[in-house]
Amino acid sequence: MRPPSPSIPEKEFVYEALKQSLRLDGRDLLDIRTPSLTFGPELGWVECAYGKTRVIAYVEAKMIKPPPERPLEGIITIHSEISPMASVDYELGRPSEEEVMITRMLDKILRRSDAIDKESLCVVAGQRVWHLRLTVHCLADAGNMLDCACLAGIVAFKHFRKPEVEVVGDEVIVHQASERAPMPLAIHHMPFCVTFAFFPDPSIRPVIDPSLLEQRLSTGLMSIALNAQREICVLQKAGGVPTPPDEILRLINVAVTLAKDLDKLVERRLREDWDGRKIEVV
Amino acid sequence: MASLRPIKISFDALAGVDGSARFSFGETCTALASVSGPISARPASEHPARAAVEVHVRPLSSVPGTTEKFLGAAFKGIIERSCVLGQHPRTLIQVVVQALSPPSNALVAAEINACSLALVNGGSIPMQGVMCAVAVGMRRDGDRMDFILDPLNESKLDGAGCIAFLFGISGSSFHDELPPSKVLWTSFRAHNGSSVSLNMQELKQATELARKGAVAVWLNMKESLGAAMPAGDGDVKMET
Repeated sequence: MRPPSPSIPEKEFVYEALKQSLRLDGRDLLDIRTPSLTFGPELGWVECAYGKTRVIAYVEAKMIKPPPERPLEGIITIHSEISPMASVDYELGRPSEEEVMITRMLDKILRRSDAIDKESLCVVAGQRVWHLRLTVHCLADAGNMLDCACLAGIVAFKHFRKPEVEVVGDEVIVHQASERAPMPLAIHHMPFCVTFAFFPDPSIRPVIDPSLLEQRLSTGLMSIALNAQREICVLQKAGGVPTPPDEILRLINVAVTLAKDLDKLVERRLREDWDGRKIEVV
Repeated sequence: MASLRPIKISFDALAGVDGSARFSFGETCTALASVSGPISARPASEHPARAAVEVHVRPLSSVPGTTEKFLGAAFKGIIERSCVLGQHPRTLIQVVVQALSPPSNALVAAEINACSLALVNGGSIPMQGVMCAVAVGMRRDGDRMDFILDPLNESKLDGAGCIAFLFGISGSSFHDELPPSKVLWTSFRAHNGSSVSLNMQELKQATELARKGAVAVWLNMKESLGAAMPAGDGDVKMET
């Protein structure tokens, strides 16, 4: 099998350019590609694109019997397998490092950080709870699939509406969407992920939202997941590049500003989509 | 009886693959397919005289299961019969089909159409023809079997199926005529535990109805390819 790029000329060119603070796509070192969000006809279907990197997230809900050790909470499962559609280098059945990292980060950001309230998913204690299933499909890898997947995931949860349920004695009645309007999920906070790439030459400053070539040529990646309220959910630094603490703090401050911008963008897009779905009864 | 939901075709130009296309019947039945090839095959799976074909089908929700494996094998057969594989021996053609809507027979038809368009969009694999598929629903009404083209709500019917046609290339150019078509693949399934049986006459009826639908699909595909940009990297826009 041909080894994945980068070739030596690509490597040398990118490093030289980065030493002069130039990126191949013309961005500044601390500029991200503006994410674009498209919503599907179903609620809970979101397509997120960071430039040419594209990810689709879909949320589905089913009612099940909870496990005996946790009878009062709902269950959230996340599926995020990368198919060869994202890039020819990914093989099905053999999780690459990238896939493992995305799975772990999605798990930490969306489940362990308690972004979605699990107790509100309980319908009848010990008998019936909602099982939310988030499936993340990576359609194209042009660098930084992690940020794209995390944004798609949290926006899909925010976009999704679960059917209204009525409990009458022992019976549970699930209302159709045409009878009673479905309810949004109880989301405590919206975590956004921001990734920085570090390079072997210490004179090259870290870049944000690396493209595919920059990601392959980086020696280390730092991903910070935080919300607009300046709370850090996850900070993951891989690669072992020695970084002084004031540099880390500087990058965290950059991430905080970015999280606020992403929050505004997501709110605006969700509102636009929701306005398009409402039918005014005159 | 013989009308399809509005067809929407778009070419995504996905960055990691050679060709990709999105096909939808109406708003609620969309499939995305991508093709990479000919690329180097694993030594175990390469064929000395022709290209090997690998099809991965992925559902919208959850992990691929037995249905997806079945569809993958079916699509592999369809693609092997539509493409000229002998020109690229010892290589691999990797096709990934991503369902973007909940499962249905119309979705299977959309997936076949998306594969077909992705192969044409990629432009790197010679083809004998273009595959066009439609779904046909059936409802038994006493002695008669009613067939509905591209049914919207399959759960209300007795059964449904998908028929794929190969629209070939004839020697002479045609303007008003349509290219010859042959049935490539059929798959019917009964719903709700009811058992339906079709005799040869009814099957022919369903096939002819599906052919009309497939012709409409073919015309849509032709129009979309005429309007679309050629496959390739496109211009990398500088973000300022």
